Amino acid sequence: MDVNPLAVILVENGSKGDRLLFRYPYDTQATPNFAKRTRAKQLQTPYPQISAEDMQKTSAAYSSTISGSVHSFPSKVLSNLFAVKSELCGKKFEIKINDIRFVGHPLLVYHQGEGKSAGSSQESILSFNVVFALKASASHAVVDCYHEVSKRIAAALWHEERRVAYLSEEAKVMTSTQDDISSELPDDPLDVPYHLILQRSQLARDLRRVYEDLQISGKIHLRINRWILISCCLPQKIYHLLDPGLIIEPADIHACMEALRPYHAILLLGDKEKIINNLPLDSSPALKRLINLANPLKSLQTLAADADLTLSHVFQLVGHMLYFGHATIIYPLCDSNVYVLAGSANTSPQSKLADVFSEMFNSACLIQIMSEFSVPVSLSQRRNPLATPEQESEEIKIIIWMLQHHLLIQLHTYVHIVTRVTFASRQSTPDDLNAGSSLTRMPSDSDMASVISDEALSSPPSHKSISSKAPLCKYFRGKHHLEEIMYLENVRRSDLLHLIDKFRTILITFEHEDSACSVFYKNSTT
Amino acid sequence: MIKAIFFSEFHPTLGPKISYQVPEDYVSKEIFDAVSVYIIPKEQLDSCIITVNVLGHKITGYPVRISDEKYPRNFLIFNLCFVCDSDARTVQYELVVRKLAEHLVTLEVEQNFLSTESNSAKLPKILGQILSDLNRGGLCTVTVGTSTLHLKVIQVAAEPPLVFDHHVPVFTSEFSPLKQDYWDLTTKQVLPYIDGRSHVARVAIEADVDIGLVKACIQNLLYYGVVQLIPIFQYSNMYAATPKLRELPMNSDLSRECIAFVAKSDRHPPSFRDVFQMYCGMTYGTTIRDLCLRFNPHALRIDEHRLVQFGVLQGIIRRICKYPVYKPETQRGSHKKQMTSLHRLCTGVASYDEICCRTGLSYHELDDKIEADVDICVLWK
Repeated sequence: MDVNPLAVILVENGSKGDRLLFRYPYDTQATPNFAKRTRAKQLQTPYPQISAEDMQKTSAAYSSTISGSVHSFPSKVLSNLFAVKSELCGKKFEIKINDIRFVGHPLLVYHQGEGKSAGSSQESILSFNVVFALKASASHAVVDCYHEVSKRIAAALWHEERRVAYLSEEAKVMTSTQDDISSELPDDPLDVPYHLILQRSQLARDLRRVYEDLQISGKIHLRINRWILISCCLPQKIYHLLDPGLIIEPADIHACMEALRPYHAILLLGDKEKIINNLPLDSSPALKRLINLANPLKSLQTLAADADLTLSHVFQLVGHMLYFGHATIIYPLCDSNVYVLAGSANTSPQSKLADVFSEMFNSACLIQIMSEFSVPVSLSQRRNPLATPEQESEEIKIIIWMLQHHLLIQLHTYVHIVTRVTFASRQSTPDDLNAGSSLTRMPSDSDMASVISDEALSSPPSHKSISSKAPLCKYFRGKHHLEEIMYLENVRRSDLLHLIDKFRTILITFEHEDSACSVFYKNSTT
Repeated sequence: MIKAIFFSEFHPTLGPKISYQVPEDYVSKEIFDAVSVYIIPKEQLDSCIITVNVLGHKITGYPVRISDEKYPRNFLIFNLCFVCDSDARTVQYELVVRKLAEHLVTLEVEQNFLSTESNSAKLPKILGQILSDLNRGGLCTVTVGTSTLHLKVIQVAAEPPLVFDHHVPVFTSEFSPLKQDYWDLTTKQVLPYIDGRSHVARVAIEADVDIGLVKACIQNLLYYGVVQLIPIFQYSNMYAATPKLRELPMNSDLSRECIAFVAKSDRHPPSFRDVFQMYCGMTYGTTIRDLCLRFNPHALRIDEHRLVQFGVLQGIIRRICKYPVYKPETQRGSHKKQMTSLHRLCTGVASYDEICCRTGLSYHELDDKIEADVDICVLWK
């Protein structure tokens, strides 16, 4: 997994030059590693000899392939790299050295011309940079997420520095600790000062927490100087923890949000209580209300009405919940929903999910249930008329559980109109056909209307006036599934099915999953 | 796409500077000053590939230091950098940059190429040649004096997937493998047998090459995007539409390509309606045999094999595979049954195709065996 950070580094550029204030994790066995290093590529001689001279100019030895870490870079080198020129401040900073990528967002504390008020101490910080080290193979989206984290931390530090000179204070603690140690122990044991700095500096502990949170949960929630809140997350990491096969990038969540409609519903991925308890204390009350009222049977529209929120606000909250991995998108559960086993489902009977499942549902067999969903079934088909209410609710719980774990996927029916124009063109020359002029012509509304009027003449109208159905033909382009048409035009399913049946010679139906939901089924194996 | 190449060095009195650049002034003086610390870095970072992405430029370089007393400061530092747009991928240029830098080191050590003014003045011409050749074909041959240097940009693609016995390799687009003199001997022997119908095991037998080698060859071809893997075509296969099917009637290029591909003869292409209808008919529970009975593709001038192949290659349809899972009933397990070799294969991870290839059974033989066994349940996904 390339999402995890390798290190977090804080560098300042002050009046006394650049300095590395803190790095985490620091190397506890720096010296033995150093001896083990070998040059990856020897320029002058093909037969490398480890000599004293060679140790001094280690050059390519900083290739991180040896330990897969950034420990091999001395602090001085890093501070020189990351204390950037003022031209680069306020912008994304990205540098790749061999197979480690560093990303940060350097900031100037005071802009040019905006002098610090007189009377302040001589040692002022001109600029600083919070840098994350990542594996170079990390994707573009991951690098962007880390840049965002770095930017937020930098913005908070910038604010606190200007408000109460927080960064200067912390920097003083860090530098004095480093100076103390180096004056006491000139033999330079690399790691000792950082250990002491962690004890003495709040900022160092915060940075350690950022590193550890990103490593463990992918979520950061902390206050810089107990004042400025930093709350963000790495969706890739969160979804990886939920399901190791799942690769969700922020772009996927945006795609899902694009496809989100008011008739969709949210399905919480965990226990309601647990999600609410894990929210920060000052989280939006609207979010809490939404989570409390969330129900896989309720569409977002109903949910908005129940929670007394505007629909656009609900959409924003849903986007947030998707980003933090609290929920997934489904079509509200109802009898006519057709479910089938997802192509990405793990079907090994030894899988952890199978064990969890049989524990939760009195030793029911997951494989058995999965095989029942091998062919698409609607909930009404699965219903056993003899079942007791308990059995029925158990059944629904099983389906919800399987949807939460992305084992089932819902199939929707799409309708496409294909006119008979194509038959007439059969007699035309092959050149015409190759040009595709008549073949790929989009059926127009008038085609449909003419067919409808023909039908209307030949057969007496059924229970409803057929002309009222003509507007529906704009949905028969394969872009809308039946549920969406029902929502948009406020028609009943039976009417719609009746219409499709009636015009089955020109309407082709096909089934596949909804694009809003399908992004969460992407799997590395498919 | 390389936007510019520059040669920078550490001048004994002026410090880091760009000596030569093609095209001129692509990287301005201001930008270079801002990033010079990464172009001419501290000595600990010599001979590292450093890529810095700031101010709208992505600059890949390989700083080199030659220590010798003949130089004014006892050393010569230079760096030959490729400049790309900030959102471009540059991994593929890294090795080229390094090779070029190392070649320049050799030239300098042997002929003082860089330190004599008359020689180094040739650099802009060489850089210009590298820039245009690499951007055009990804290949470049540089001749400096008597030495020749060959450069090639190798695209870094993702790891190709594993190749299994039951996969069918098929060439992508209009690739003519037989004309290429480019591949190694084993691949050349295998290429004629890749016809989009035979699976890997069969290709190996027909080409009389060890199956491990065939898999390695195909994996290599996959890496270069020459072939794609699709499932074996059988009339008992099931396919399901994917959301991409919606694009087929909308996208006239795709639908034209589709009609040309699935046609039984070029002179009488099938109608789009029939093709589309057949794709729409593919769903759970409908095998290709059922579809053929329903639509009679022969009369519609559709080649069902190519129909499926096009659909899978374009991602319009996906195969629904059958996974048998061995799940012994424990409650009536007074006599513990012997686990057969077939049971061991039914792990829920191996599909029918894989088991057929392993055991050498045909689809129907395997199906009969599994149907008869109460301890195996079957999943479709």
